[in-house]
Amino acid sequence: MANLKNLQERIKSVSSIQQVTKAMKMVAAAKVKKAQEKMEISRPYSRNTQDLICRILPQVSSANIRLVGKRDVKNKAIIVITSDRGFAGSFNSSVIRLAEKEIEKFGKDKVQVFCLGKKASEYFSKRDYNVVESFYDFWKDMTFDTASEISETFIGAFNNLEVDEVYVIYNRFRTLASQDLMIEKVLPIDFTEDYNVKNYNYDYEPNQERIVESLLPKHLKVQMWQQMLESYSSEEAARMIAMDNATENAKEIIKELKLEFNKARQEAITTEMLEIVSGSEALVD
Amino acid sequence: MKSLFSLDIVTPTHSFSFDNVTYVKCPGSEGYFGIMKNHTNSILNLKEGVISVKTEEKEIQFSCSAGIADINSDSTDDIPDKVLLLVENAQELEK
Repeated sequence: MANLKNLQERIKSVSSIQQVTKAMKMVAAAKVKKAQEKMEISRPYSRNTQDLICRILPQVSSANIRLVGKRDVKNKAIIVITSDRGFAGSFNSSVIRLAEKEIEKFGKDKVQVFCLGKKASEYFSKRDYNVVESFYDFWKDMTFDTASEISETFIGAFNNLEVDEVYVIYNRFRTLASQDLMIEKVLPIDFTEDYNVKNYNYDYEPNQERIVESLLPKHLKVQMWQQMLESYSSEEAARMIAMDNATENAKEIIKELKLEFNKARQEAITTEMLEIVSGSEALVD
Repeated sequence: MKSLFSLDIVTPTHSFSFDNVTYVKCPGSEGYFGIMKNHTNSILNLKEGVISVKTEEKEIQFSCSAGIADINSDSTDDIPDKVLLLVENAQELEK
């Protein structure tokens, strides 16, 4: 009988795990949708900012604008975007693996690491990397201001000549079932390819240079905001898939356990009946 | 012929759109300025302040952070004038 009770308890615990994973999956799905909406809303702003930069930048001498000026690369900054929590399949490990490879390639001591999310922060601080800034605990209620603040730190490092190039490594949302691992150069800003050479007859106030100077940080901030949203959507999508798999697995386990439980129960009944039959036969005799 | 133009106030987290605007007052980096139909094509820096939008029916005010104004007008009346205000933050002010 002990075996029967044991099995019953296991079925109960697996069922409650299944309920939890199912709920987590549903929560993740809702979060993906929310993040997607935010991404959609941010698009006109980023498109218009880029468009303006492309229109004005060709008219000014880029030598005077630091954020677009290329220089010899002595030091790099790498921004690694991960999540605060696990339970999302290989979401965090794949980002961290790529970041580590990139850092080792250039030299550990010449790369400043900016960590977004607890996972990256924990990993890189423990392993003696040059972690300059860590941001976490903001995913739940992240706003554009968070992205702004993060951008300002790396723009500052670039302007102070502490680093000569800035890269971002993150997961880009493709579909619910797949993410693309991305590595993108954010600084210096490279716009030459989409230059819009049409000559516009515009008035500028105060002047083109000042306008571009105020536009470029805006462009970087909204880009950071979008990358954070991409990563957040991917995280929740990965969690959704992971939780879906967990729910399926729990279902399988419950099925097996139930079969085992029924077998054990049948066995117990058979033994009991045998006992009764042999007992009554003994009485007849 | 009414002198109306369209206005978009765009931020990374939300946008406001109007198509029957008669007058907009914006906080330019060198002082407040007004925009009406057939304004010269211009791109201007904005600083923090209050944007006042006058449409045919009402007047609405927004507080905004620093940003950029992009004014596109066409001398012909076929293409409606378009004013775009890119700011990081804009909130409608209660009256």
